Amino acid sequence: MTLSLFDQFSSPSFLGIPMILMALALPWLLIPTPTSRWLSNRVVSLQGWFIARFTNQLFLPLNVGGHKWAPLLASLMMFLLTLNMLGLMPYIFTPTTQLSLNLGLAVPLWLATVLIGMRNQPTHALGHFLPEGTPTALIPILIIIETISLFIRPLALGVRLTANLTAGHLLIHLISSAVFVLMPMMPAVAILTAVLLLLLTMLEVAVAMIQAYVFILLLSLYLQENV
Amino acid sequence: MPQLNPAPWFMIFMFTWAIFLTILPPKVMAHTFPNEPSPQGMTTPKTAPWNWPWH
Repeated sequence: MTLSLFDQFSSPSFLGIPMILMALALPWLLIPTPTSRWLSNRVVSLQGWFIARFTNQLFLPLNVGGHKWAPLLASLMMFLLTLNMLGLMPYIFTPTTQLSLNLGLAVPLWLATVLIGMRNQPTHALGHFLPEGTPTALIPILIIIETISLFIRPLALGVRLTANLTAGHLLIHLISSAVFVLMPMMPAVAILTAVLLLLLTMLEVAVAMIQAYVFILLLSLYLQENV
Repeated sequence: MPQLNPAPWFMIFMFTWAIFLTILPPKVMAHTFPNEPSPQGMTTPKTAPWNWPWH
């Protein structure tokens, strides 16, 4: 069967075994667990500094009650960052292009923030549905709009990550195919397209990191509203 | 779009959370930091070179 451009995103399976299990289980070999040695090596030190500085920065605007989310959000950051960055290499499947994975992370975590807000401080949480200073006549419509925007949040969170990574991989696929096709016919154009591919790859590295960060940042903002 | 095929969705969901809850937090929490955070404004001490190996 001829492959379409989207077939690179179908969840791969080999001999009936879903390969996404490998793609999800193996990247953590690159994140070594620190032992109880006082003097660690370079890799562990760099990862430790990154995790500590990142978590510090992320939790600065949160009340102390939200700080119990620190291990979860730090783990999620490492999770998404590693999967996104590894997927940029050739022939490596990116699990975060799967809508199931992204929605599966976004919906429970968003729902957790909403339920925490509703349980601990329901008045404050419900108060977000009506911004201050709203003209009286606009109150009903604005509450509807705010409710819709609340429920759109997990969808947006999941689809944003999926779409960004899928589009990036698709563009890399398209432009690299163009380079190969143009090489025998118009080498000069092929070289220009290859330069474009290089720039695009650098952009995709940035997008991989930024999209992981945006996911975590938005979750911390939703937590900030509710904790 | 093959991502919209719902067949592997539950398996991917379960496995993602299994990995995310069992493998990652121990790795992240195992990082320990020996020093208390120090207030800013202290002079940075001059470091002496060391002659023992990195690891």
